Amino acid sequence: MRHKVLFVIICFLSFSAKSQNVVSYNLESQMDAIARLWNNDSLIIWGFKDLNNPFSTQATLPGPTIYCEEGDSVIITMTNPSFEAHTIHLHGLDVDQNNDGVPSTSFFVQPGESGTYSFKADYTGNFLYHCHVGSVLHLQMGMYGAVIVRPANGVKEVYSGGPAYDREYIWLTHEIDKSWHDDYTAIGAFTNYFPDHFQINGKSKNLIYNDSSVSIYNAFIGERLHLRLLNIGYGINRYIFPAGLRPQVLTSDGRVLDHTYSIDTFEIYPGERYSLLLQANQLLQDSIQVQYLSMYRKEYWGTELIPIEVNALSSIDKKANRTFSIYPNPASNRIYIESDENAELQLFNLNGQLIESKKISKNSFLSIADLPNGVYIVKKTSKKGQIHSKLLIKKAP
Amino acid sequence: MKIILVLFIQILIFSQNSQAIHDSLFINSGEISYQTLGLNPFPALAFNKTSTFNKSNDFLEYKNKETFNLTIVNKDSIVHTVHIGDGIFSTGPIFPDSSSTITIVFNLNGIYKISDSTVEGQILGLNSFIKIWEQTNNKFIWNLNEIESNLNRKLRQGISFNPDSFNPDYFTINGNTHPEISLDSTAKIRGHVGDSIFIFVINSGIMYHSIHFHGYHVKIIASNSNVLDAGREKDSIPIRPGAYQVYLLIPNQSGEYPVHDHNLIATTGGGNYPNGMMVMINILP
Repeated sequence: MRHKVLFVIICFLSFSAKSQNVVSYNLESQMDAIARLWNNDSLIIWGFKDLNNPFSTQATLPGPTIYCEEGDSVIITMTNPSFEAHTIHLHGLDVDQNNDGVPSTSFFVQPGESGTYSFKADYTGNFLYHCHVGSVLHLQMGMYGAVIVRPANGVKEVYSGGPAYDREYIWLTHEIDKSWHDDYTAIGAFTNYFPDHFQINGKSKNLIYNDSSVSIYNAFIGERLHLRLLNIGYGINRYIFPAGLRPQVLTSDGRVLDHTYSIDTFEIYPGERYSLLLQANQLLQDSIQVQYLSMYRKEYWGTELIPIEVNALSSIDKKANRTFSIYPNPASNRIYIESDENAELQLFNLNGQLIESKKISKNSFLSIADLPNGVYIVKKTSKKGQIHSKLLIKKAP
Repeated sequence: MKIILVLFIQILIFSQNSQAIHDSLFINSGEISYQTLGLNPFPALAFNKTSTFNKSNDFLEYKNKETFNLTIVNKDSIVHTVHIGDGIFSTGPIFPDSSSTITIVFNLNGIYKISDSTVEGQILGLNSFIKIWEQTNNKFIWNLNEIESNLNRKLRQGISFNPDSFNPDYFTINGNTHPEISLDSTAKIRGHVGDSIFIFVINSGIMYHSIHFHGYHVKIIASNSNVLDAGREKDSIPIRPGAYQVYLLIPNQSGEYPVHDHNLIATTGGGNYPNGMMVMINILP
């Protein structure tokens, strides 16, 4: 009898262990936002602004990522103060017809109105959302974002009950034909599509290098990296991993694959999403190539590089790392260094050039007011050895 | 008496089996225009079961290991050579107003292309297929293609195809574009919740396509597009030129949803949106 009661309690606990929260997002559609390209050119975008984020001043490219956990109920309210109707299509989430965001079969969110979309997050994985009004144009202009459904209760597994990971990267790719953004009324036929900028999370080239949410900096041997690949563009992405790196392909379109496999080159087509698990087992300072190819003969459009840096810090060394910290990070004027010993501190840029060198004691600081925005490597050298840490310098615009 | 009856039945069965199936396909030339885009006709070719041009290529269905004779009648003005199953079977050159008959049998399930030996023939739309599969009630067919209307005009004027400048302006399913394609009962999916619906897709064009389902994931049950395809459940499915796939859709909800290429350029037609490679699914409770 006691066993039966225990069994029922365990069943109840396991059932209730799945999160069933209500997650709400409030987005505002905009058709006059400005994004910066890698060469500092401005890019007119249409997109979604996160009304829940008090620091969000305008629509972003891509739109805010919708995060939730398996079992959650998600409600997205979209307010539309712009001059055209918009919708939100929840791509891959298999929602009911009314929430599908296709205007002819569900509803428009007209100018001056707001609309609500909801879904139950039944599957973990990587999904998309985008406007489905004049999709070919609205999506190109930037009205898209990612929906990430993680396992319940904050478990860091690629999918519920799947392999564990230490950190994750979301790489949402898209390409830009800037002439469409400069004057969308002058496009003519939509087949006049000749992309000239290639983006990952709305960034290219130096903007990728300076973005630690895209670039893999300071990974450690043995660390498990969950790579979430999502292609919202109109062409093929071909990922080419550095020699020796062969991530495992685990899920596709929000479903666990029956047969996992390892790859060094991987292609992802428009609308597809994949989860890969990468465990680096070698020291590395290299780049993952992302080639952008057309749907006709896979003609070459362009390449972006994602830096990847794998260091030799073991999990035991990570504990030692806790005795060395820098803050704030990101920083703008000054960083404070906490260390358990006297040491030498060196600051390098990503080209490996020494920018600053300083002897530090237990509590020190370093002025960075004259340094430009970007990612830097802080190296601490003491009798115990060397520790590297990444520093992001980001000043208010 | 019983022995005589059995022998009689066996003779009947034998004579039925030995009756070779005979089908004909005509190579027809004609003009295509899409009403929703205004009349701006351009020349095209198609395989049809009669000598009347229809932009939707007709396809053929047989059972596995079934022998059949296929006659190709060339009603076009130039010579054509027809390949079946990537050249497993071929006619010789068929001159205008001539025909060629070949005997065919396939021992494996699949979708076998019927194509012209020239790129020009393929570009002009000579793209059909033979479906070798167990017969199912809930089956739908999507024959994907893309057309550059000006290129069709040039090819008919004798100007040769320059593959470096191909930029199609129409993207078709069974020769039609959205919304007209949803009038095609072989293309528009209709069914009920819980049905097993089979969708046979062949990419007859020269571009890659990425077919996105709204409302549902489908299971890929056969594919020669990618060796890893079979068994996957997906909502966005790439298919390479010349390849086929078979999807199984078991709807878990009712509703009306589109399916379309997620290269959204292919959801335009003649420069307009929405058009192109998009078809509707209508699932009743």
